[in-house]
Amino acid sequence: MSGQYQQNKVSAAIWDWQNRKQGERTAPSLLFSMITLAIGWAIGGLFYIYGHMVIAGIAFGISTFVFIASRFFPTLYFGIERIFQKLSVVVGTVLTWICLVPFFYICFGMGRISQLLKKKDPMQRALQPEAKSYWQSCKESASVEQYKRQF
Amino acid sequence: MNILGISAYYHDSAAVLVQDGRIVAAAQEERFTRIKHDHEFPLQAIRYCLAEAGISGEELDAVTFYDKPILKFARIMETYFSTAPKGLASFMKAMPLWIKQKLWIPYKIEKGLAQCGVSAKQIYFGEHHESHAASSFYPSPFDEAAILTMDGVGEWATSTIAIGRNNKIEMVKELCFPHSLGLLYSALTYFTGFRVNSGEYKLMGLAPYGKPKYVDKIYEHLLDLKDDGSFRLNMDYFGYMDGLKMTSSLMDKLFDGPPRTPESPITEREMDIAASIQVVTEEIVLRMARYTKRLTGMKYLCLSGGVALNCVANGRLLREKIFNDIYIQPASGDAGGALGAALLTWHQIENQPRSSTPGKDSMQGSYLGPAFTDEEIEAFLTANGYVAEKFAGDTWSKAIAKRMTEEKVIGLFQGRMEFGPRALGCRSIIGDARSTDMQSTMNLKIKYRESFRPFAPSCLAEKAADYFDLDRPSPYMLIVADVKEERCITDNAKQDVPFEKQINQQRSDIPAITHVDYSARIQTVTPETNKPYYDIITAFHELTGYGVIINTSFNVRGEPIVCTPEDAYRCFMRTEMDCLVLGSFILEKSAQPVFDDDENWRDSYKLD
Repeated sequence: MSGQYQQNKVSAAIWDWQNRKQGERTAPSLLFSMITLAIGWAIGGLFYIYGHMVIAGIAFGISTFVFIASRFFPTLYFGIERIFQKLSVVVGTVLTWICLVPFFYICFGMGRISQLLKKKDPMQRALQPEAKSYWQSCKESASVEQYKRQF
Repeated sequence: MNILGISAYYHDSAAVLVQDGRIVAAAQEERFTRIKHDHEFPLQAIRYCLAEAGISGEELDAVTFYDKPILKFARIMETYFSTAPKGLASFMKAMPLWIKQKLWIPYKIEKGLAQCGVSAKQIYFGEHHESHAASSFYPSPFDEAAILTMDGVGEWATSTIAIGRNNKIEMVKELCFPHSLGLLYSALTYFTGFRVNSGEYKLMGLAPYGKPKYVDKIYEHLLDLKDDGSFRLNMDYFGYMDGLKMTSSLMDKLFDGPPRTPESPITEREMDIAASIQVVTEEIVLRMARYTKRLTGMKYLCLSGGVALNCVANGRLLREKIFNDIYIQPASGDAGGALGAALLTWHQIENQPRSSTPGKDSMQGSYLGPAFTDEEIEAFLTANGYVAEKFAGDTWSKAIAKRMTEEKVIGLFQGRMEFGPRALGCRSIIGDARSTDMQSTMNLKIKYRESFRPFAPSCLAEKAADYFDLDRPSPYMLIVADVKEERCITDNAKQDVPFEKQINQQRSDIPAITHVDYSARIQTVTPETNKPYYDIITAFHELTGYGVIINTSFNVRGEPIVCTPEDAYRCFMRTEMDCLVLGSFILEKSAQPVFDDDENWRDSYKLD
């Protein structure tokens, strides 16, 4: 076919078979590269102000290197991006565990002890062989206002 | 009034667009992203629905999410309070997702709509089981009916009984987490080596191969079942409250060993467990249905929730004649929750009237997804150099039927895509049901799936009684019935032969769709809902005298059902299908150019 086929609205919304180039990645915009550079330099500047010359130099160097790669060597930039993505996943996972594990044991551990002391079981796990039914009545139908809430 | 229903963040995300009470578009996100059971925000499904309805700018009046996220979050927190110090692994898996996504649903909805250039005037939240109830009652052909919903879990409820009258639904009774029929079935799905929220239908298909020898053990140890179908599970045997596994080590002792490793050989034990849990499930469903009848006094029953996809139990429920008639929502899983949420908004919140037509639902055959024109298909084929022949009128259906008589396997892509888990003749693989080799050919060479898996028949509605013990339409493949006794070959089928040999026994004159217990999961086809498909089966009937064919979903194992002509062509070339029908075009495999494909394509699909 010489020209582009004019897709209808539905097809155009979900099936881009004419323009898609699989696997092709575009380099970041100049604005994005500049912001990244500015953040790197700002961090380097802070280290410089507080007298950490070596770390400041590393920060300046890395951010300048990433900026140049993003503008002139996209393939190299994508490699750097992948490394940072993996690093951020690792850092994120570690931080999540550091924050949430103490929270889990302090918050839920205490809650569990409280439940045990009060002999309460909100999950109603105990079987009741003598009961005739486990069905529970539902609460009354919701009002329009209740439908606007997430609870 | 335009209402968008959304389900997301658990499994099977979907979007549905309802326009003045009429269902205009519905689709699952997995079909577009090509990730099976995709749970992410259904951005592409929303984009499709808005395009199908022609909505732009501020024309969207309301968006309704299918459950109440904060209530669900509270239940999860309560669960951790009840199980700590156990449950850390589950907590660490769940919490980041909640913090990142699930607690910000209104923001996600607004952001998603903004990407589509649309804004909504109001956002609502229905309760999970209320959405399920709405999805089955509102499209049903009944003015009033009892509604029974059963699934894994919503906010707290796991099963509910409700009453639907005209445009209102009243929730009456509920069973609450952790006591869940859906989770009981899923736990044994896990134990028998299949994937939870995906492999439940395999367990159902495996059941007829086994003997229900564990039924007494299940009743004695796993649950306390009351006469009215309510029950509590003995949580000592289950792991889903405090861990990442569905069962605990006590279950291993009960069933003579540890869970089956996925993809390892299936043994008699797994078949017996499958048979046993099927018996128990049917018994619970029947007791619940009888109680529902006593409680509501209604003549009709609407079913929804994941358990309603257990078509063997549905068939039993029909045969017991507890209700005059039952209606089952074809998208009974969480995807259907999006539909229920939208209809709930129209009828319950906006108080708009509802009218029903006896014998006819408003699901439009569940053909609610995208369709593609012949012109676009032709442009796509030409642009890629794919070889096809165009057929028009009768010659199209006759050409397809003729190829089926030659035992060719055909990928059928025509019309609007189905909403729900079943392919109903628009995104289907079809073949000759009389062929003795077709079941194993399709399983091993086309679908690349387990050899025991049965195939379902599509049958001309008026001929269904000639082949099956079925006295009513089954347009959505949700009812299992026996193949007519006079068609069955009983001498040949001995139950004591090895599993592998049982599969290949000829059990009737339509062996490819006759399961090991002489049953079949039937789709009845009418010209009103799918004329092209009806014409194909009619043409096949004229050639062979048989008004029944095989119908299985157009995908390979682990892949979502195909959505676009491109998906269909790719699946066609990757498998040993012989022909592909794309709208009015028929493509022969032998005539196609060499297909440039990733040789490791199967790795891209996570096996279900």
